[in-house]
Amino acid sequence: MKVKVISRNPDEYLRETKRDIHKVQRNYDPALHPLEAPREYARALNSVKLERIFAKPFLGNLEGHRDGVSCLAKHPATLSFLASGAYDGEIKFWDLPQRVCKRSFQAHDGYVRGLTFTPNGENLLSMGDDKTIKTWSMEEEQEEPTNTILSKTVLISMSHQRSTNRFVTCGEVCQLWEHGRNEPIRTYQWGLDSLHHVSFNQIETHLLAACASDRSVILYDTRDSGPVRKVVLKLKANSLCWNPMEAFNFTVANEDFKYVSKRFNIGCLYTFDARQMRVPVNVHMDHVGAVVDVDYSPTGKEFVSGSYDKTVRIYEAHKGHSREVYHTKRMQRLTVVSWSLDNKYIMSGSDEMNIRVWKARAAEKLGALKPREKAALNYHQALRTKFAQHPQIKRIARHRHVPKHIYNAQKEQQAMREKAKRKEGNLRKHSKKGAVPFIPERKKHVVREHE
Amino acid sequence: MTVDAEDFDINNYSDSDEGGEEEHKRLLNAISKLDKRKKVLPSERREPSLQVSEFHLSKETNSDANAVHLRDLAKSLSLKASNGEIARKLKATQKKAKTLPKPLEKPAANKIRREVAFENVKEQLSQWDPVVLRNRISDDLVFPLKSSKGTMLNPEEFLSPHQGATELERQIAAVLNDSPSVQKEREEKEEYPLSLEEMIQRRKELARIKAQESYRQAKAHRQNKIKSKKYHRHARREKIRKQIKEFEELQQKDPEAALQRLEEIERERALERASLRHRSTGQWAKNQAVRAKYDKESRQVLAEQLKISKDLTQKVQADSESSDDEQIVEPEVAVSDNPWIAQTKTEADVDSFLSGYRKYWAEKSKESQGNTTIESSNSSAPGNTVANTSPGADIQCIDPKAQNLLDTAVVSYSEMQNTEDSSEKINESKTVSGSTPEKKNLNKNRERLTLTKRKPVINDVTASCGKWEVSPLETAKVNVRSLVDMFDDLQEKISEKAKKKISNFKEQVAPQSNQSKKSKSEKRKSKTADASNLLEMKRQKVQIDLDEKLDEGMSANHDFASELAEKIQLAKSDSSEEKSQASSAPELDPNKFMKTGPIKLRTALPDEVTGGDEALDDSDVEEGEKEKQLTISEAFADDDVVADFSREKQEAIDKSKPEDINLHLPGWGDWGGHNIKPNKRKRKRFIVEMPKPPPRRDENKGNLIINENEDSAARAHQVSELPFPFTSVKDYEASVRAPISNTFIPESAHRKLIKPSVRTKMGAIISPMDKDVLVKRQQKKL
Repeated sequence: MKVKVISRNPDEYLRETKRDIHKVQRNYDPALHPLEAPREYARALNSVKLERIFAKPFLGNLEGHRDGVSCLAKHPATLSFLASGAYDGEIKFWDLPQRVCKRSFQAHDGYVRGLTFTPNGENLLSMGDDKTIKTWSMEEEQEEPTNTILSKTVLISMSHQRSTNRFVTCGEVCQLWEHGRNEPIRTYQWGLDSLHHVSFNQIETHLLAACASDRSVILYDTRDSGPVRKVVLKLKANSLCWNPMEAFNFTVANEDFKYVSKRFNIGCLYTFDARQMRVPVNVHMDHVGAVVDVDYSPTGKEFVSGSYDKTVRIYEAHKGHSREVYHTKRMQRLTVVSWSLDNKYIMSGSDEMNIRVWKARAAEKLGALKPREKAALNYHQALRTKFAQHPQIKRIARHRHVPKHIYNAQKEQQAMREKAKRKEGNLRKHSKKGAVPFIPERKKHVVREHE
Repeated sequence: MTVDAEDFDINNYSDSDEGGEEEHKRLLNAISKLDKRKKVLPSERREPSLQVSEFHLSKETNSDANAVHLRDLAKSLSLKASNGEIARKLKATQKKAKTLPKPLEKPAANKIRREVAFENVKEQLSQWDPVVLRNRISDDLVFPLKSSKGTMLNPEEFLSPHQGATELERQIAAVLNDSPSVQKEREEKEEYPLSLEEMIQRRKELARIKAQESYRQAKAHRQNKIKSKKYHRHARREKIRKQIKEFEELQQKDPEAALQRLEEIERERALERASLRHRSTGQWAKNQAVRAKYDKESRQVLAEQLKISKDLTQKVQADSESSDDEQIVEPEVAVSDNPWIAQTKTEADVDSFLSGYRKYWAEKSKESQGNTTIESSNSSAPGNTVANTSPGADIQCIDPKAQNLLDTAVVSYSEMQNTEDSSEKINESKTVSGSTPEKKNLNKNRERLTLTKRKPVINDVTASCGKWEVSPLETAKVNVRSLVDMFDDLQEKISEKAKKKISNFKEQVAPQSNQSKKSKSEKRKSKTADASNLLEMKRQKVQIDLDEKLDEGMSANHDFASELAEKIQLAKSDSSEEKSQASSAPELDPNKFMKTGPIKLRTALPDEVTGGDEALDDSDVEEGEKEKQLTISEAFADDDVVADFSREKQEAIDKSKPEDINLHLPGWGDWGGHNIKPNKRKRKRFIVEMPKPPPRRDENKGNLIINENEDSAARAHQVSELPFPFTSVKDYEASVRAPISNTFIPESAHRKLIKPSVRTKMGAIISPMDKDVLVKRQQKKL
């Protein structure tokens, strides 16, 4: 009996060596593949489902502080190194991959208000409620600071200039310091309100911005007379971060309030263009409480924000809504967030004494990838973006579970928003034409700009 | 005021009495003692500080007396005539000089200062606009960004001639280094040091050479690793073919060099054969050797083999003068099967070959002299070829057929290029000449082609020469007749190809001219481009940019009631529309009328029914259709198709109607059991009547059943909104339709399409943008 079998010559489909490209015996004529789009759609759907399955962003917890974490500092040259300060004046050095505390010492009486590394990474500057600025050497195990400066004024926040030996502090006034000097080389003051956050521009290094308690954000130029421009917001700005890739953009994290007169306001972030501060470039919503801290990713494409509503959110810099929300049952009010310098991790410090490490992209696979693996992941990413608008894919990709208190707060806020909208509509309907103008969302948040 | 008064007094006093200085001082002291108030002395600044206290400023009226005034200095100027000019100017300025206005209030002054400073900041920040924009729209960003601070190679290290990998190379390098010529050259170079540009050029050259060598090495490494015998066989054949081709070309261009090359090839061949084959190292020979101990035959065979190999590698003294005297070792014709020794060439053969070649060479030179004459005489060409081919047949070739084919291929290739050139020329002159002259030109071209094609048939001279004897693999006579046929075929093919090429070229040229115009205008535009134009840059790759709120449970609040209400609303609106349409259109009875003409859909999908008959005329198609219809009507002659259809439709309509819900449950006050009908009143009470369904879409379309529920499952997957960066549905649909998988498109395209727009290097610190980005690097022209 003759048995017919399909036989193929292995030469046609096997590679000669491992390095060769796979031979593909395939006809790419689109007429022969009438179901291209449906097949890709099915793949995209599977991919987006898998992405949600693999989305496990929480990596670990650094515990050891005996009071709430007040500040974090990234080492400029070592990715695995993190310094943190707490409300009890203790500073801890962490080894991130090992998740262990390497060194711990009592630095200040009262809060540690600010922590920053010098640009070469050899020293750590710390600042506390005891009105001292201390310099700690990273090299040897010293109990005592290498240098201590007693300040005449209260100190609340500090920021180091990039690649120079100057740093700035704020409190009652804004002061510019230099290493090796015990007095500020410059003191800037505009108005009598105290400042609670200050941040240097990383690209145009002579620029800095500070948040004042009169709800204003002030821009300074250290080369010249100092304060340059001030913009007063509806609500107090809690924190501020410059975009490390776009010299003129910075994002402000804001306080919130409710039920005041007929308006209400939720915790928002505003991205400003330093050249035109009358209207923010973008308003980033989604938090239901005050936003406490904000930090940009080193690529400047995204930023992370920590809020008083016990969540961390990640925003794309040019979009109004968050792409990700992180929360855990035990994480309390956020006090500080920080994005690692390799764009992979997010560190968050919170009231309940823990520092948490998250993945910046929840479903990302960590570690080295083989080329084929990388290609497959890229392919799936491309598929997801290609079909992003399709309802099923959008639904799966954007679905997040949030804790009950956030869900309820959101519901409440939605109702409030609708109420305000309805009321405004009614007002418009029953008043003279043009008497109640439409005001775009972006223009609602800035009160005035001072020259 | 009091102090002023005092001053006045003192001045008066000093004016009146100039002599008594001492007295005057005493008097002053006395007066000051009278004044009980304490005098505030102007404080002195001891160290430089930025802050100047307002208390430190004083009018210093007391010291006014001792002050030196400008006018006093100017007095001395007027003593000299040459300084008169300066003095006059000074006076004039003093006249013009006014007291400065009162300084602004501090807040106002600060405001102005801030404004100016802000303008400066603004200007400075605006420098970053293009960089930021470029990064925003870029499809391929790799972080950390490339910084200008690259690792600098030590130039001497880089320029040093690179160390040879092998011992031999190193030795050669050493010898070369020592050689006087090189040293001399070096001295010269030292005398005239290279300029920067030359250095850079040299460095580049070296880098290029290094890179090329590394590529070659990698390639060789890769190829060596391939185990496939088939591949190597192919590769070897390819190599030989290439060599032959090259040789052919060389033969045409430079016969002398070709002769040399031939000799080389022969030598190589002989060497190869001597080294590898016909020895006792092959598998067969080894087997024989194993057997040889017991088997006489195999011993014999092996001996023979060795002998053959010896014979083959024997050097033949080809010198005609010496050959007469010396004895030539004639190989025995023992094994007739072995093609290698089937026919060895005698000396006479070699001579004849050489003479033939010389003859050819002479002809060739003649031809080159009288090239034009040959070209003009077309009729003489075929005869020539025949005449020329016959000596070619006499000469023993390695493989005449293959050789011929190769020849023709070579010629055709070179001719194709020629035709291309000529076609370009044609196109240039196209504006003047019409289509007919063009054809003529083409014809001429073709004629020339035939000419040049037939000439090289003479060149079938890949036989032995010189000192090494080579015998052909097969002895085959050239069939002249078949050759001629082959040429005819080839000629046709080439002419066709030439036609195609020309037409292609025309097509290429036409859009190019358009493009050049366009590009010119674009250039003009780009010249006028400014910052605002810059902002109009677009992403090359358009991707969906969703900016929507995360679904955190808020949007999933739809309840059934609202959905139903929506649906009913929709149905109402639909029905009203339908009614309005229906009232306007005349009603048709579907039972009596049916449209039967085929409707052609404009679909992109292949039409499989009419797959092969594209070439058919329209009339043919119509006939075919008629036939089909006929057969269909014949097939369904007995059936009442229309009635069946209407029945089917009615069924579909009934099926789609929502059924009333019966909520009646037998129980209270009812008899139980089989076949008991429930009370009519109760039945009415418990039945929930569904609302009348909206009119069907196929209600008035007699020949159609529209299944409205069919795509309800698909609808959940369909896009209802156009995503952000897209401006037209067409574009978006196209983007969805275009596949990105390597299942449907080639791997390279797939890779390009799936490349992520932002990539980061693992474990690398991404530092903020550097100001070096703004610096325009000097372009080194070389």
